[in-house]
Amino acid sequence: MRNVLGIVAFASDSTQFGVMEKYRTVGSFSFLGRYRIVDFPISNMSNSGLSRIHVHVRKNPRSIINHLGGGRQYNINAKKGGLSIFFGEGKVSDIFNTDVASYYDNLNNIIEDKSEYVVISLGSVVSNINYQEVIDEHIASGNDITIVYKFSDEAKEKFINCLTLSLGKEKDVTKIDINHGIYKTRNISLETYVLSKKLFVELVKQARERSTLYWFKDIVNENLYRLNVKGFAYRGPVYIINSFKAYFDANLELIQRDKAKELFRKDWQIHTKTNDSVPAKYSKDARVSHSLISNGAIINGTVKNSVIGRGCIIEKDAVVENSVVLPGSYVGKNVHLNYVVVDKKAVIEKVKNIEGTDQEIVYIERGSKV
Amino acid sequence: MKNNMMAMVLAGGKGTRLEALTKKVAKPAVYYGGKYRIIDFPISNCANSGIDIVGVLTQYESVLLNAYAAGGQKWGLDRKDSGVFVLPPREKEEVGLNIYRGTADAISQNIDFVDSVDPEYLLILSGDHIYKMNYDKMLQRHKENGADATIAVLNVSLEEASRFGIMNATSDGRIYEFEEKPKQPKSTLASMGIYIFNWKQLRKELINDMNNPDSSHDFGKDIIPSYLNQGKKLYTYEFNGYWKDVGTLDSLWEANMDLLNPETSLNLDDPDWKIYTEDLAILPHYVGKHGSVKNSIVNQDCVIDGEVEDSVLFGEVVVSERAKVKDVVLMPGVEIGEGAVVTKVIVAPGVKIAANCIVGDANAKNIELISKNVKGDNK
Repeated sequence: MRNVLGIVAFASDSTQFGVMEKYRTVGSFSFLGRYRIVDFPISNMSNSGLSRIHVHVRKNPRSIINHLGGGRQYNINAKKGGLSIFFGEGKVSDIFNTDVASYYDNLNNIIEDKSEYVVISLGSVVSNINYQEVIDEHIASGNDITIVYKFSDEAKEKFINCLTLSLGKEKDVTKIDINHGIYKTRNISLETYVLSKKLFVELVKQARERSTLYWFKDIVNENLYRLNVKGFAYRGPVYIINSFKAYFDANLELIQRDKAKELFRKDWQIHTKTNDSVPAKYSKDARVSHSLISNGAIINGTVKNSVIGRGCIIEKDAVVENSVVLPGSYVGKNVHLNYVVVDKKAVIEKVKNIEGTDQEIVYIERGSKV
Repeated sequence: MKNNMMAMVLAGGKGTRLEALTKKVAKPAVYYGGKYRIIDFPISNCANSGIDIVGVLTQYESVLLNAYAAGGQKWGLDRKDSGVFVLPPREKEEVGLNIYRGTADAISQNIDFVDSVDPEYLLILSGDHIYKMNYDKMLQRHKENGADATIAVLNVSLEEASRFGIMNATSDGRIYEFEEKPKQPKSTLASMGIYIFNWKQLRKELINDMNNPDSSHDFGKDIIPSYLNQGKKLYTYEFNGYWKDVGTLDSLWEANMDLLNPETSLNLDDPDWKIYTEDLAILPHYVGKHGSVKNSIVNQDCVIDGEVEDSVLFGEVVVSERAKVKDVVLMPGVEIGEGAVVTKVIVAPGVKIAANCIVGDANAKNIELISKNVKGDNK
């Protein structure tokens, strides 16, 4: 796979996270207690044998740079390949900060790479896709562009605002649209594209000529009439993290062991940066059921249907239900949380009852004292 | 922080008292504390003390240990001028040996390796102790004393003293006598098997020792007495923290249980003195709808749907519904079947205990190691 360049893209402007994204890009969100979302596309690329990976970050790159480092945790061979991070610079306004702008600004890096093909994958998609299979099919079929999709019959509730593909008889893509949750069945685009580097560079240049507001999906959509663009059906687990709700739901769904086992396979490991934390510690008063508990956590209270991140402390007589507690947070005595996302290193002590619902999840800001 | 000291970890013990745990792996590679191996402690201490080069001397089953230690990336000892090197005995023409005949001989046979690093000081460590210690502070004391050798000591009780090598020293710490397992100890300062030597001097001593047909080539029995006979300056360095020899199943079990005791002074969670180990790409652990965990330590990717109390669980352990485990150490990948009851034992890596089996005894005097699968109908 030495002739394929992996590109981890950032999500388009339809993402909705509110304050949570103030601190870092979606790819850098803590996920399931110890991962970051970007661990998934990068591990998938590395597991698929890609050795050169470009990660494009839209804004707030500090956290992701810190997390990715040189990429060794992903088994990327730094001698034969490597991980590079690019981020949008000097844009007057966010609306000009598109994926195409980031590719265009770094076009020389892409052109200079020896690869013949590129795989573009969204940094905010959690899956265990084998890109090798997509690339093989792409080359065998002689497509101009192959786009990966997941068929969903829950499109009314899930994958809201994700892109959809309309497919013809031969899986040829006839239209790229948005899932507004009106129809039950949709082909959800993973925004994962395989194409020759030559065509990729052409499309980036063409998009720039057309409009500085264009995203890559826009230029693909515009070229559907003349290019041979086909869908590739991915059948594995997928969680597209494009909203705060989607983030919360994915965390809670993956507490279920059978769902987690589908995503985390022995022969397809998801790598992340180690923190060398100690194993989790439970006191005599701990009561935990149906929850994921990360290393370094200290559990003295009650935890139900929740994800507890690395190094969190849940004090005696605290009750954490239906919640996601990010690494390094503190939940004090007698505090009751229900349907809450507690961002990193927050301290909840004084307010004793924080209650959301499954539709209105409460968000506690990073590092805040409540 | 550079201190011109390299470390050699003596990891050659066969560890036969740990029974099947050391059948396939050398003793330093034995598991401890929910995610660590014993060797992680001396090597992490080295990494945290600013020591860049660590040699690990082993003679038994060094393949796994070699793969584990090689490179040193786990402990951050993988920069251009640092590393962890596993050194099994090599057949060398001039020696004609393929075993290490004693602790001192293990160093003697690797003089060429130490020379290639060319340190000013050599730190000798033992590979089977659990403790956190700043060797750099010990080196500072060694320099302040202008010592030829410094020996770390632990103040033990008078009853225990006859089981150790005891240092008799003046009030300023200068050692005038060494007694191996004395019947009537004159002091309670026990050697921890941690020595700092000035390399050039030790090198000469080791060459003499190699040529001495009467020597047993041991630091405690030969080198230290010889230093004292020559009137060299040997000093003690007193250590006050948690220290545990984990050479037997009982002590290995106790050392694990110590982690559940809030009184224990061993803090593995100190961000300034982390104990580094292998990182596995596995999920946080899952406690199921019927699960209950009390006063225990649990590592990643365990699945607990039964009752766990007063126990240490390594990674990827399964405790099924209605199973009960108490006072146990479950090593990686152990599976406890539905309704099984497991009490006060160590279960070796990967062992499966079938449904409804009853294993172990709360009143057992000695800790039993369960190293083979326990099949059903064992009520």
